[in-house]
Parts: sequence; C-alpha cells; structure tokens
Amino acid sequence: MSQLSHPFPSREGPVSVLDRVFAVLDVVRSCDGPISISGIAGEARIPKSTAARLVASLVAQRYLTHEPGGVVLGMRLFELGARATMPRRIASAAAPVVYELAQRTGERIGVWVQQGTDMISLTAVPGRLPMLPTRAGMRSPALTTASGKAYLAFCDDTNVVDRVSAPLLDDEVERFYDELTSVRADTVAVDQGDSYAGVAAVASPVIDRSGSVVGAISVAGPAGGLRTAHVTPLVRTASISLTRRLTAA
Amino acid sequence: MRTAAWTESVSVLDRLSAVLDAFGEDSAGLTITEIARRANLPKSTVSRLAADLVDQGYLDREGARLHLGVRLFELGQGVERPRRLRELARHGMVQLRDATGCHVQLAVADGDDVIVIASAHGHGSHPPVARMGERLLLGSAALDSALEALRHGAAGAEIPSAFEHTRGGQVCVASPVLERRRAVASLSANGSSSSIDADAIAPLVRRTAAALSRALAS
Repeated sequence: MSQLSHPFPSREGPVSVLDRVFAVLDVVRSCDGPISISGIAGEARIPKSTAARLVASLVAQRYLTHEPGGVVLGMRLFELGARATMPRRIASAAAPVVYELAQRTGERIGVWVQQGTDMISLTAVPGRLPMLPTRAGMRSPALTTASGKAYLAFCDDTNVVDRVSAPLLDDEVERFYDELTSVRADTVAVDQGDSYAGVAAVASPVIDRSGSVVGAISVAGPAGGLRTAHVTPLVRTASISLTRRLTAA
Repeated sequence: MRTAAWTESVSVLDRLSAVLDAFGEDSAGLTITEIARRANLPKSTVSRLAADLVDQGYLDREGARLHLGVRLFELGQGVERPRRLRELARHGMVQLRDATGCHVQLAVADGDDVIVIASAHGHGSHPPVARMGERLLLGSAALDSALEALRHGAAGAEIPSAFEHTRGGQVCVASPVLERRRAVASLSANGSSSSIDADAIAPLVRRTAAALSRALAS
C-alpha cells in the first residue's frame, strides 16, 4: 500500500543511514499527527524493515515518540531546536520590533529565515487572516512570498537564488530577476496573492552584523484589504530597526 | 580509545547524537576541533558528518564556527505536545507573571528529566533559571516542586494542589496541569525567597494551572 500511495514508486529513496534519518524526521514533521511505520516507509521511500529498525532507534534516542496510531516528533528535537543559535538570536532581537509592527498595522507579522527553497518562520503574530494557520516553524515558498523575494534580492549566494528559481521558464526567470532588482532598489518586496489565494504581503530584508542578509520581516493581510501604501514604510522601518538590533547585539 | 574499530562500532545515529549534544547553551558556536573533543570522535569523522549536517540545515556555519541549525529549530517547533501547551498557556502565564512579579515556567516530564517548554521572565532580578528547552537542575527548588506536582497531579481534586520548595535562596511554587486526570505539565512561579511570599502566590498558581487544565479539556 505504501508503495502504491507514492506518486513515484520507481524513484530511489535515500541510501545512507544519515540521509534516511533526515528523510524519516522530515516525513514525521510534515505529517499532521501520528504516522505508522508503513506510512513512513512509503513516504520516505525506504524498505519497511529498515524503517522499523530506524524508527525504533530514533524512539530509543528520543527523536521520536510513540503515540496511539504511530510516532510523532520527540522531546529531544524540542530541546535541540530551542538551542539553535540563529533563530534564537533573531527571534529575541525581533520581539519588540514585531510587537510594535503588530500594534501599528493590526495585521499578521512574520520573521523568516531561508532554508532550501523555502522560508521558515521564526516568530508569528496572527492578524486578521483567520483562514491561514500561523506559527513559528512553518514553511512558505521563497519563490513567491514577499519574505522570500526580500531575502533573495539581497542574497549573495547565487546558488540559492538559482535553486529557488529553477522551476521557472525562461521569460519567467527574466521577470523574476527584474523583480529582485526593483526589490533591491525599494528594499521592499510585495506578494499580491501569488503564494496563498486572497493573501497579500509586504516584506523587507533583515541583515546581520556581518552585512549579509539572514531573513526577512513581513506583514500579511487580506488581498484588497491590506493598505500597502500605509504598511510599506512601516515594514521598511521595522527591518531597519531589527537590523540595527542584530548588529548591536 | 578513539580507534577506528571503536568508531565503527558506534552507529551513525550515535555519532549524530554525540555531535548535536556537543552544543551546549552557549551561543558562541563550536569549531570542528571542539566538537570532536566534546563528542569524543575523530576530527575527520566530525568534519565529514558536519559537512552533511550543514548541507541539510541541521547545523549553521558562521565562519569557522558551527551552530545548531534552522532545520532543528523547525523540527523542534513541530513537536506537538509542548507547542499545544505553550499556545494555550501563554496568556495565563503572562498574567501570573504580572500579578506576582515571579518568573513563571511551564515544564513537562520526559523520562527522568523535566524540560522547560515555556517561560515568562519576571521583572525583578532573579537567580538564573532554566531557559526554554533546558532541563530543570538537579537539587533546584524548581525541579523538586515540578516533580512533586507531576507525581501528585491526579489526586482527584477539582483545583490542583500547589507544591512549594525552597533551595539556595530560591523559592518555587508549582501546580500540576491536568489532562484526563493525569498531570501533563507543571506550572510554577519562581523567585528569591527573601522577596516572595509563597503562601500568597500559591492560590494564583493553582488557579492558573486549573484554567490551563480546563483549556486542554475543551
């Protein structure tokens, strides 16, 4: 069943033990609630017997924990995650800035860092967008979101930008790079609803003390309801004060 | 001691854990050499493993120093039990902090350890307390109170009891958070014993814990 449920049953799964560990943790993370051994084996594309052994080891070492219906992420990951330096540094520098931006806009505020082709939220304050759940640790696509474009416009690593823009066709790539150029000039990126239907967002980059971009801060609200002209200077100011707090820290 | 045979006998997962556990609370990061020493692994092994971990975002590189990475943050935020408790507890914890001036903590048991999952920092000067994701220290007022609260949670009372301990000038009042009559967390107020009247704050701690228990049930 697990084999059939996968859209690419013939594609080879991860082979090294380490890659299989990464794959299993990723499958459990992206799953809404407990997942069974065969569910993990199918999603991670590893043999069921291997999955069973690996899950047993991961449970023994507290990376996973048993619950009725399967396994979920375990407390060891919570402990390790709480000690991750960059998220902790940025989130604590951002707290007063996020609070003020939320007070002044009444909209959803997010602070994001880049990971692979996604942005991951470090802090999130809900605004008036009830249809989208929001919490720290959530992923959004870097290609289309305001925070992703704000990050990419200032990213020195061309490999990152290339990887994110890889799915685009030739003329789309050109338009994308043009947009990044104007984001660099404005220090503000906008998403009019490309990432999530009905959700508009404005974001500015966050720079650390070494001068490189580390993430973005964003304001999101209902498309058509978000007052972009009002919000844009506030986001820009927030990004400058967050950058200043990070540089001073 | 660190022979090739010894290294081979240690599984990949054990090596991964040894490397990740090498990172303590200090945020200055570690070099490959420092990780190798702390993890008791050959430098070449750590170097290879670290390269894979940086690729996957489990470690972040900052010059020559490595840090626990964004992927671990993401996985940590995905752990359901603390996340749900934190979300429900946040408001009440801040209120309790404002009403008492105490440092307010929420902690859960994991095996023999008690791990802090949320905290609202007190306004006054306090002795150092465990941060989010840290374990409560052996021999601390916070651990003794939390263990008692977690053990006696299911006494059957409508409003959970409060448990108080004083150690080394620090006082802690803890009350269990109940789910289906089982203690799933300990909510506590902490402060210096010279400035905190434990009897006065105990009813507030109990009431906050009771409110959180009700929120869990709904």
